[in-house]
This record gives sequence, C-alpha cells and structure tokens, in this order.
Amino acid sequence: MSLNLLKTAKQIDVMATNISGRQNVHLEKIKKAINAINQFSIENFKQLKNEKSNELSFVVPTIVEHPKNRYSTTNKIYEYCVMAVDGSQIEMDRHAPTTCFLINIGTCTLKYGNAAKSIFSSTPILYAKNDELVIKNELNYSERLIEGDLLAAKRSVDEIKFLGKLLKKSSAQLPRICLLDGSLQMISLKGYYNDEIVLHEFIESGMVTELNKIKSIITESTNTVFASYISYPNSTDIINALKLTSCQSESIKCGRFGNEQSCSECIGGVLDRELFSTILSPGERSSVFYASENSLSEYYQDHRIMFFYINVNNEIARIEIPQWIGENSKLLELLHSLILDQCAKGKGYPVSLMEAHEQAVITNADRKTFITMIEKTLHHQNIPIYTSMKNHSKNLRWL
Amino acid sequence: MINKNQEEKYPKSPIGEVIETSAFNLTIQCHKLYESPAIGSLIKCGTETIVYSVISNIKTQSLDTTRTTIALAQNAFSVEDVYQENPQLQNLLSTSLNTIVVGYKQNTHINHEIPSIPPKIHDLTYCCTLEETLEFSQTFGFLRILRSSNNAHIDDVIVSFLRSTLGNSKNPSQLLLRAGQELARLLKDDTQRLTQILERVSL
Amino acid sequence: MTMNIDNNESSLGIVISGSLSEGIRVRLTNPTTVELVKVGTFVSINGENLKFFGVITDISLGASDHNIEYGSIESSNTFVKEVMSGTTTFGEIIVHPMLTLYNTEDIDTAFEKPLPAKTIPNHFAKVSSATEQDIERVFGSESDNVFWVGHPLDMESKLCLNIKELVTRTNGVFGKSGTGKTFLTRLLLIGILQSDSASNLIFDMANEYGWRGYSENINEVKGLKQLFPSKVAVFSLDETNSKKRGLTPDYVVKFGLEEIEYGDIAILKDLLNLTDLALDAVYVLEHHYGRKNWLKMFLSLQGRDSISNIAEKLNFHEGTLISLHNRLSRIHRFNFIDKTQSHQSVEKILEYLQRGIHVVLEFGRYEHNALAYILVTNLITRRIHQKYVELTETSFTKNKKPKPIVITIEEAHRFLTPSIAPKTIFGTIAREMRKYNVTLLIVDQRPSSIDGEIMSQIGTKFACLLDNEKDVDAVLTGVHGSRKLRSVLASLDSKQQALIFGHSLPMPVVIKTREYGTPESYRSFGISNKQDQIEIDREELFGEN
Ligand SMILES: Nc1ncnc2c1ncn2[C@@H]1O[C@H](COP(=O)(O)OP(=O)(O)OP(=O)(O)O)[C@@H](O)[C@H]1O
Ligand SMILES: [Mg+2]
Repeated sequence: MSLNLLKTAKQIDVMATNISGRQNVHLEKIKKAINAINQFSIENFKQLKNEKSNELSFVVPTIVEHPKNRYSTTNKIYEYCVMAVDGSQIEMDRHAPTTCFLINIGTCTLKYGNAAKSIFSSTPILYAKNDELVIKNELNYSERLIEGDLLAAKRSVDEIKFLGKLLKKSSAQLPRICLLDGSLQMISLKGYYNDEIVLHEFIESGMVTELNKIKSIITESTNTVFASYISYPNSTDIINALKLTSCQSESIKCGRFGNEQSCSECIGGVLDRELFSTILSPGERSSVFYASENSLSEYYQDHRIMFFYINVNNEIARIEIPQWIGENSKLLELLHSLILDQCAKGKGYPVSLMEAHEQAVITNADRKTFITMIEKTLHHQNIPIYTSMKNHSKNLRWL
Repeated sequence: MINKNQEEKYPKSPIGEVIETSAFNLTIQCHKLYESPAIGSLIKCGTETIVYSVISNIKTQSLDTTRTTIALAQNAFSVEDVYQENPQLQNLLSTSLNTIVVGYKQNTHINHEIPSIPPKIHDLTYCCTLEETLEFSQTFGFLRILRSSNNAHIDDVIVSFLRSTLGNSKNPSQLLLRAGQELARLLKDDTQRLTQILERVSL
Repeated sequence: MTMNIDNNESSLGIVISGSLSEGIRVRLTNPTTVELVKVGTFVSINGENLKFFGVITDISLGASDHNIEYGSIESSNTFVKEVMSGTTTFGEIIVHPMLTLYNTEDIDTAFEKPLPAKTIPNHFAKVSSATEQDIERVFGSESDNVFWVGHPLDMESKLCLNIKELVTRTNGVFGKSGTGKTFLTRLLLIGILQSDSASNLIFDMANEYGWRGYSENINEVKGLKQLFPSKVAVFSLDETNSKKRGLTPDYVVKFGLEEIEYGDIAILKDLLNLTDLALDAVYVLEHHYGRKNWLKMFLSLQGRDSISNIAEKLNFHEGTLISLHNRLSRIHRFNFIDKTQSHQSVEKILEYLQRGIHVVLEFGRYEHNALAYILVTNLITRRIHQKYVELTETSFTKNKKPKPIVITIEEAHRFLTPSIAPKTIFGTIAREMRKYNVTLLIVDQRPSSIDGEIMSQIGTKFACLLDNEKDVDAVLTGVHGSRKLRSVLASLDSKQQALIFGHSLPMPVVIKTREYGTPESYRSFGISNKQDQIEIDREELFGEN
C-alpha cells in the first residue's frame, strides 16, 4: 500500500479540530479589521507611513481615497469586444533529452452584440535556440538559464505581447476590454531584485515595452480598457495599511510577516478579500489604490500599478491596472461594468479568460506527447539522446 | 430535407469535412454550428471517387469532451439571446454528423456498394442537390446497405430519406412504390417492421 | 387478351420450384395479376433450351412472413398493400408443363409436332401467357381437317380439333344438365359434316339436332337440316309431330314387329321390369316361333287360356308369360311399329349414310319416352353394325371401305351401364373402335353410370362442368394427371365451357365453346348455299323463320 489511508484519516481529524479552533480566532481578527477600517483616516495613515516606513517589516500601498468607499455601476454594455490572453508552459525538464521549453499562448476574442462572434487561438512557441534559453550578462559573460520563476516571467511577457497584438488588430468602434490572468506585478522576479540584467530583460524591455504599446492604443480611443484579473487574491495591501494605523503595540514588527509574536490586538493574518467581502455588495468595487511599492516598482516607469477589489458573485476579485487607467474615472467605470459583465457571463469568472485558459492549457497527455515528439524527431535526425538514469527508472516500474 | 431553402443555403460550398472515416461510417464535422442538412439527407465527399453517405445522426456537443455544457438560458428571452450573449459557444460547440456510406461514383457510374477505399480525413463534404439525390436513387440497391447497418434507428433514417427525396420528385408515387418493393424484399421476413416503415413513408 | 397486364410480353412470373409430377411453382411478378389469372389458362415457359407449353392448374397466395398468415399484420394503408403485394405477399400459380414446343436455340428446326414434356424448365425461367402462335403450334390452325370448337380460356385464339383423328375413336361429351353438351355436340357434328370424314347418324331423342333446337337464351337455334339442307336428312318416328314443327321429314321411319329380336328386348329389361325368367322366355319364344315371327305370334295371343297353353308347352310358369305379354304389349302400341308388314327403314338410313348424307332421327312425340328411344336406337344400331361388319368384311376383297359412320346417342348411359354394356351392341362398338368404321359419339350427363371399360375406350372426352364426385371420377379415370384436371374440371363455368382431353389433342385444354345460335355463328360455318343464306338473312332481318 502506497499510502496508509487509515493513519492519514486520523491526522485529518486532528487537523480539522485545529482549523475550527483557529477559525474562531480568525473571525475575531476580521472583526478587528472591520473596526480598523471604520476608524481609518487617510491623513493619519499618510503621517504614520512617513514616520515609520523604515521600521516596517511589510509594505503598504498608497491610499488616496478612503478604503471604505464603494462604487457600483448601473452602466450595462451590450455591445463590446473582449480580448483575453492566457498562457501555459512546458518546463524544461532536466531529465528531458534536450534543453528547450515551450510556451503556449491561448487567446479568446469575443464580440457581443449584433454580430456576435468568437475567435479562439492557441499558439505554441518552442524556445530551443541557445540564446533563447538563457539571459546573458555581456559584462561578465555569465548566463542564467530561463527556468522556474524566470520562465514564469517570460510567459507573462509573451502573454501581454499577444494581448497587445490582439488589441492592435481589433476595431475601435466598440468598447474594448483587454484581460490578463494574474498579477501585472511580476512578483516572480522578486528574488532577482538586484539582478539588473534580468529585471531589464523582463520588465523594462519586456513588460513595459508592451504596456507602452497598449497605452498608446488606449489613449487614442476613449472606450478601451485593460486589466489583469486575480481571482481569490491573497494580497494584504489594505490589511497592512490598517495594521499601520490600528496596531497598539509599540513595535509594529508583529503579525505574520513580523519577527515577533503577534500581539493580541493584531489583525495580521487577515486577507484583503476577507475584509472586502464584508464591505462590498455584489457588483460593487472598492476605491482604487496604488500598489505597494517594492524593489521592482521603479522599473515600471509611468505604468505604476493600481488595483481595486470587486465583488463578483459574492466573491472578491482583485483587478490590477496601470495608473493611466486607474486615474481615469471614465475608463474605470467602463472597466467596472465590463468586468462585471464578463464575470456574469462566466458564472463568477471572466468568460473570455476562461476560454483563453482553455486554449492555453497543456494537459499531461500533451506534455508526454511533446516529449515523445521531440525524441522521435531527434532520433530521426540521428542526434543522440541523453536521458539520465533517473528518468529511466521513472519510465520503468519494476517489482 | 433538401428543400429550396437549403439548396440556396448550400449551393456549392462544403458543409463540413470528414473527421472520422471508415468504409461504412463517416463522421463529418460541420463548418458552422447547427448548419447541417437533415437526417436522411444524402451527402457526398471525395474528389476522384465520390463517396455518398446518408446522414444517420446529427450531434451538437462540446468540442472538448472534458468540458460539459451547462444551462445558460435562465435569464434569456430566447435561445438566440443566449448565443448572442455567449459568442464563445460558436467555438466551443460543434455540430457533427454520423453518416452511413451507401455508395460511390466512379467515372460517372454510380455504385450502390461500399467503396474499396474510404474517404480521407478532412475531405470536404457537400450536401447533394435534389437532382443528385434522385440520380443516386434511380435504383434502390443502397437500401440494402442502409438496412444492414447496425444503427438502431435506421428505419427512421430510411423514412426520412424516402420522404424527403422521393416525396419531392416529379413522380413520387412510382418511385416510392419501387423503393417500397425493394424494402419489402429486404424485410421479407419482418413484415411488422416493413409495414411500419411503409405507413410512415406513404404520402 | 383479356388479361390486363401492361407488360408487353404478358409475362406472368418466374419459375421458383416444382417437379414434373406435381407441377411447377411460378411466382407471379405482377402483384395485380392474381385475380386475373385463371386455372386452365395456357402459358408458355422459356426454359434455357426448351420452350414449354403448359397449363395453370392451381393458384395460391403466398407470404414471405408467417405473421401475415397469422393475421397479426394489419394495415389499411393502400400504399402498404400496394408495396407488399408482389413482394412480401405474392401470388403463385402451379403450371403443369405439358409439351415442349421447340428448342430455343434452334427455332428454325422447330419440332414438327409438340412433344410431351419429359422434363421441366430451369429455375427462374420466364413464364408468360401463351400467344396465339403457341396455341396454333399446339392444336393446329383452322383448316379442312381441323375444326374450330372454341377458344382456350381467356384467349381469342381459336382452338381447333383434328376431326379426322377424332372420328377414328368413340368419343364422349359429358356434363351435368344444362352445361352445353348438346350445343357442343352439334358443333362437333358440324365439324364432322364439314370435314366429310364420316357420316353422322344422330338419335335425336329430344328433337334438337335436325330442325330447330332450343336455347335458354334465344329460344330457338337452327338444326343441322336448316344449315346444311342438302347434306342432312331428317328421319322421323312421328310425322305428325315433325310437320307440326314445320318440317317435312325425308323419311318416316317404321318398323315391322318381325324386326325386333331377343337382343332388343334384353336391353329393355330394366325399363320393362322384366325378370330373368321372363327374358329366358323371350329367348325360348324366339326359338319356338322363329326369329321373324315370335313377337307377332306372341302378341297376337288373345286371352289367358292361349297364353297358359303356350306356357305349358314351353314349360314356363303361366304368370311369367302373362306379365311378359302385358309388358311387351307396350311396344306393340307404338305408332312406328307396324303390326302387319315389314319396313326398310334401316336400309334407307344405311343408304343415306353411304351416300354421305347425315341422318338425324327425330323421335317426335316420343321425345321423352325412354322405351321408344332405347328400343329404336338399339334396333337400328344393331342392324347397321351388322351391315357394316358385312360391308367391311367384303370391302377387303372389293377394296372399297364403307363410309365411316358416327352414331350419336344422348343419354348414353342407358345403353352402357355395366350390367348391360357387355351384352349390347353399343358396348361392342365402343370396344371394337373403328374396326368396322362405326364409332359412337356418346352424350351423357351421368358418366358414372357408364361401364368403366367403355369409358376407358373413349378416345376424346369433352367434359363440361360436373359436380358429382362420381361423375368426375368416371370421366378422369385412367387419365394421366387426373388430379390436376379434377380442379380444372370443377372450376368450369356452368355453361359453354369444356375441358377437352384425350386422343385427338396433344394435351388437355379448357375451352369456351364456340358460340352457336347467332347469325354470325351460322355465317362462321362458311355456308355458301344461296337458299340457306337467304333464310339466315331473313331471320336476321325480321326475327322470324
Ligand atoms: N356453344 C354455345 N353457344 C351458345 N349458347 C350455348 C352454347 N353452349 C351452351 N349454350 C347455352 O346453354 C344452354 C344449355 O345448353 P345445352 O342444351 O347444350 O345443355 P345440355 O348439357 O345439353 O343440357 P341437357 O343435359 O339438359 O340436355 C343452351 O340452351 C344455350 O343457351
Ligand atoms: Mg342436351
């Protein structure tokens, strides 16, 4: 027997009692967070932020509007076009016969209204050339293999590149919305904050270049919006802000990210969405915030990332946008209603993103076929195939 | 049914293409959702050897077998609304046809037999015009192939074919009689079944 | 052709199974034909090598699915019925191949004569209604020796008989009352007359043949004398009656008592209700008084005493002779019996017959008198036969055969019952066949009463409808394929149809008897005699005669 289910079941029982115990504590914390937001004052926050920013073990957003503000929209748009892009990748497997990786970009364009129509696409891009597979440092001749977090970043860039292309091709007659899945902040690059070459490659010449293109199209028209959609966000920007204003403890270095034990009053551990689910009614969005500054922020140039929360179908989603959208109330309103419409059509998740995902997704079977295809091709061209013994043992199971 | 309306709809453009092929049965995927000829219609595909088959089933379903379709019309006024609100359905759903191969044409000669080589995958498929269908059904040997197909609803297919094709011909009663007699020979020991078919075919 | 089949070749169907003995099963291709096909119809079958000629002997309905027979399939839909008939449900006929007409590979050297079928056609051979040419090939076409008696069932072609062939044997016309025996016989007599292959002697018991016959439809039809006055002589037993009917007989027949012999009485045994002892007495009396005088003498005995005298003398019981005397007196009372002198009637008849004149003997008022009929018929026939035996025997030396004669007797069973046939002249003639150039034309409605041996001697039988089993048996006994003919016989129309089979035909055939009695029918005999024609025309014009 590979897994002793009897023993596992006992452990699950124990876990469940712990959870219910923790839940009560957590609910208390949420109540405190609500309390905190009720007493929140922007002035106070700004002051505290200035004073203590150096002491903080966490980052806080820039808040220009009271976080308790709620916005709803009655603007219902029937005729519009949505473009969504999602991607997936086949990671370079160290045991694979050759080094390469594959990014598959799925797109979905849906046109609503009289001439309703849909266009899907799925475009696989194989990266196999040597200079595609690494980031070179011209100064010290070192190379970084694109894998893991770097591959994720690479994928993000490819995704927004495709979205830009879709947008460019589309007609400006109808309202348009461009959607990405996930965060606009390339958080996967956090670990590389001091690698100038990587950040330049992915953010400056990658993401920012594409954002520039999109921005130029959007600023030309008056009815095009662009956003990134994060469902089930685990972000705590607003909670962090509340911690700053509400924590009684002398030292603010507490909570989940702190070094010391959280104080009894502390709201650390609560998520933004938990808080906003008590504030926002279905269809409502929060006010817009500037994302917390971090080491990558400066690379974004004039595409500072803003965000808001929105209640779709009793779930809180986080929408990230560049500032040139977030600071434009008209576009914000358009975005708000289009996001709601997309989510309504997709039963709680933007239907366009869902379809883009479906186009992008690579199943396990596809992955295996991909490897086999590579092997076959190489074999046909009489290129020796190297696979490690470990992979052999994975392929063969013996008794 | 090949009516005027549809003849105009499918003048010479293909209705779809072969996505599954065998000597006896074909699966045709329609190029447009829901745009298929009716059950019992004669369709053709192939270039050198034209293979004729009769539509035995029309299916519209999710292209991705792992994704199920769900109800979407709760708040819609009509089914058209649903499709307008959800244009992605056009891409997610597809209409496909199951057909029974009933004959082929080689050098202008029509044979009511299984072709020795089945059509190719992606062969373009066309709906036969009434004239073509009547040319094909000058004799009724193909009914033997239809009858022996292991389709549980083959009788309905036969009825649809006869009704729509022969019913629209110039001398329906004479053709129907001949077709009926062919059926009677084929079903000589199953009069119950024969009677049921004939009663439904009779005009 | 009455069969309404739009198919050009009047194709009926194809052979699906069968045997030579049981017949061939033919599946009808055209579903609508079942009701149009009739038993007894001729068909031709195109085998691989041989063309067959046959007759439909049975018709049946078949179904490929038993559910139809069980009645579990029901549809009022006419289309369903239309489709199923001929496919799921179909008609079947049984055809008996009788003859092979020719070799299909070599039609030019077609068989001179159709040959009896000794094999059967292949599976799927095509069966079609026989054409006129087929019929002609089988039965011959109308000519001198061949006489048109009617039409094969449901066909317009003429069915002809070879009369020369026919008269070489004793023939029979059978059928229950009113089925057309007399009409058919009259036609046969005309055929014999026209072919001149024999002289007819007709015992016209009911006065139907010579002068004015009766028809149920048009009251009166012409007799032979009216149509062929120069070739026919009417002899009468009853001049008064003949004259009443507008005829002056060519000869009034009378007999002297001395012409009656033992044999003439013996045949009347049942009619006169004579005991065996009484017959013995006749025999003894004939010896006692001499052949010429016995009856005259016996009947002249007056009073009981004289009879008992002779009884004593001859050693007979007195009562036997008294009752014999009583009964024989009935003969005595017939007008045509001359008690005083002898007559040359038989000689006269013979003379006419030898000249080729056909003699009709009318019975006048005795038309329903069996005693007179049997007595006279027997008397004449016996003596004619006697003469013929002499003539024929001398002809060998003179090399001149007497003219063949055909003696027509209605109610023939009266002369041919098993008990008397062996003893009477008719039995003798029937058995002798044409040895002495005398043959019979037997007309009877009760063939079962006729001695089986005689029946088996009959050359060609003309059977009209018979419904009595025994009669059917009697007619068909000893005939090849009688079982199939039986159903044909039983399905004949009640009038003017006959099944003909036997010696003069290559195969049995059902005919619709040639029409007789209309002006056209008379004309069809090709009468050229001016006087005859005038009479016919007059009748046609004024509806009188
Ligand atoms: N060939 C014929 N042409 C015209 N009528 C006919 C013919 N044959 C029979 N009939 C009709 O059928 C009737 C009966 O025919 P016919 O007198 O010959 O019968 P039958 O058998 O001699 O009867 P029976 O036994 O009483 O003497 C005739 O009166 C006539 O109306
Ligand atoms: Mg009569």
